[in-house]
Amino acid sequence: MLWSASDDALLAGIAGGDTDAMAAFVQRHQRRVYGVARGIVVDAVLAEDVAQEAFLRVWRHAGGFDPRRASAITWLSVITRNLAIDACRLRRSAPADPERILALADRRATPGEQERTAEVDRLRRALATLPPEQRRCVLRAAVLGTTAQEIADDDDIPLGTAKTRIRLGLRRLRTALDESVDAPVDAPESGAS
Amino acid sequence: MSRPGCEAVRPLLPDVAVGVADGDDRAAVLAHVEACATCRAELDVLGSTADELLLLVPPAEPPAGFEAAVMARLSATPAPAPPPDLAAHRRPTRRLVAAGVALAAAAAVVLGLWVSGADDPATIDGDLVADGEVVGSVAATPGDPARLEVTVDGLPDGLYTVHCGYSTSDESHSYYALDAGTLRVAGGQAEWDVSVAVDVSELTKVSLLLPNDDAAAVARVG
Repeated sequence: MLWSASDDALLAGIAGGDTDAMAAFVQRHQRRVYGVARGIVVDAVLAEDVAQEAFLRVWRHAGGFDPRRASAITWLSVITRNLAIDACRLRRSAPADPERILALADRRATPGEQERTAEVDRLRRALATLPPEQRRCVLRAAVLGTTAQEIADDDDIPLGTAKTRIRLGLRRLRTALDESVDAPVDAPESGAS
Repeated sequence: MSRPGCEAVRPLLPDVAVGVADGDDRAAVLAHVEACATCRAELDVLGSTADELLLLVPPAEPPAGFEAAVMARLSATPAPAPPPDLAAHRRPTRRLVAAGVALAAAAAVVLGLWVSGADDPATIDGDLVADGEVVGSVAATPGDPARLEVTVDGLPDGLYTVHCGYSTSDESHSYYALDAGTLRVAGGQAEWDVSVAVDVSELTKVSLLLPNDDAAAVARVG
């Protein structure tokens, strides 16, 4: 049954023009895609347009998906983020409040995304290992697409400092994420509340 | 102009990794990482880590009828080419970064993605849209060299930079952008075409940029 097929299998079907596979993929991921769009774009109508466009991109480019590089959900989220950032810049529409994005560092998985609980918690714990100024820069850059120059202007810091915070923050985050993969699943959080 | 070194490229990596670098910076980085495994690995780490963070954004219930709206739009979109054809088209594609090509002067050719054996070039196109209005069209035809055509009808007179965004269909899925040249609109109209040494099958977006780099119009293609 399509509804129980893996994302990779659905994308293979979509790449071959299978509209049933596409319908199943849309139904499965519409909340994720709309959530990313709405998390970046303030305007609800524009966010819906971005989310629809993201699925059209999937329809046209599913053949380019490579599961060795990223999960389908990450690939889909990146497509949506890039479209949302483009939409904000093109329409000169302000993206979401950075403070909302920074709050993501504290968020826990919602009841509707049980399957993501472990990933969300892993990301949250890894973010907690970053100094606050790096965490702030990393989240704004990675989620909102805020450039280093924009961060430097907003925070009144030198451009080089903004670039360094993003780069070192992402590297430190990668290390923390890799270490969390190696850690036992039931290991208690050390020092985290 | 010599290829920028690691010291010059490293500060540019964050913006490139999250897809917000301008065309010149992106071109410089991509040209560098073609030959530098260290910086290429760094770019991969930064990009993949940034991408993972998107999982933190909580899902949200879309408006009623969302799924039906997507499927309706999809039905008006040509079906994608089947994977075997795509694979056959991509396999002969090879990257040839022309050593010594001046980066600043060769935005359109700095990454040489030559399509060899493209025996059935298929034009991809899209409407050029400004403020919700169609103001022209863009068409790209693969080949050796590939061709990019831009037609404008309804933009203010002036010079526009033709800024092309590509999404690699290979294992990296990375986005990059290059300027293809400068287009002059006179009397609200322009017809412009250029040879480009890139794999236009990876073209996803063409923007006409104002002198301050704001996009005056955008065409989504592919």
